Amino acid sequence: MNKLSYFFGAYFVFLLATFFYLFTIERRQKSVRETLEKLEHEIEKIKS
Amino acid sequence: MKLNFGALLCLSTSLGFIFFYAPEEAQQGIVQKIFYIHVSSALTMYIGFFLSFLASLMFLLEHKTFWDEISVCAAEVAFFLCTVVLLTGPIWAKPIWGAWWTWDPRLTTTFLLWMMYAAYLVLRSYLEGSSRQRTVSAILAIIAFLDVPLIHFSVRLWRGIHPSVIGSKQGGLPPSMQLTLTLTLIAFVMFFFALFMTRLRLEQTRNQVAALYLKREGKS
Repeated sequence: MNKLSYFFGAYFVFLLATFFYLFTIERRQKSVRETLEKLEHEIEKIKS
Repeated sequence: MKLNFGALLCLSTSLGFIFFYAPEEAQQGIVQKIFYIHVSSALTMYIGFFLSFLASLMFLLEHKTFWDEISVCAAEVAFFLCTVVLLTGPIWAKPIWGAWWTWDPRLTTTFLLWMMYAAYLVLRSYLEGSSRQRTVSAILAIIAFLDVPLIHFSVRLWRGIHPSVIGSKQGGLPPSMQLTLTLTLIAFVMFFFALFMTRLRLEQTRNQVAALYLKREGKS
């Protein structure tokens, strides 16, 4: 492999790791928001 | 939102500087340009772990959830940056040192740090819902942080092959490389805080959910 491949490889790995981390945050956020909405709905039901 | 946009703008600008402005190093060639993301990730990682360390200390003193939220979010984002450091380092090392990895003091202590914070994050999820989760995590974050100064001074304490660029008296960078490194570092600090704020919002929503669970159990 030539040096250019290592250079682009490093930047590709950085971008890949960033997108993966953002994806995991987004997935957790979606799941937590859904649980929150469900719970708020349930509490409203119990109150009424 | 403004912070995210600012971080994205700064990262794009610094990438432009790395690709088109920064000169190629005479001996290493283009592969030396990995230096900008490698060093910036490492320095920003230090900031993140330091923030986590401070917040853990504050949590042990005040027992406020806010400090625990700060600590876990800073540790997680810094852990991500530590992963970037450990991935980009070997890619740079292979064409220069001829090996992906050596048990050099700085490499070993950085890998040790990564493992300690991996243990911290695993322990947190294992103790989820337990009253001891926050206290145990805070103690572990404080112990793990003790490795950070060791990483920084490992180059001087034990002679390894890893170079010391920041704080070294000999050599130094030409102005064009210094400017690119400064810009990349600013971009990474902004990127860190953008990720940190996003992660903090998630942690706060999670705590809100936990509080609602308790409320529901009280009502039913």
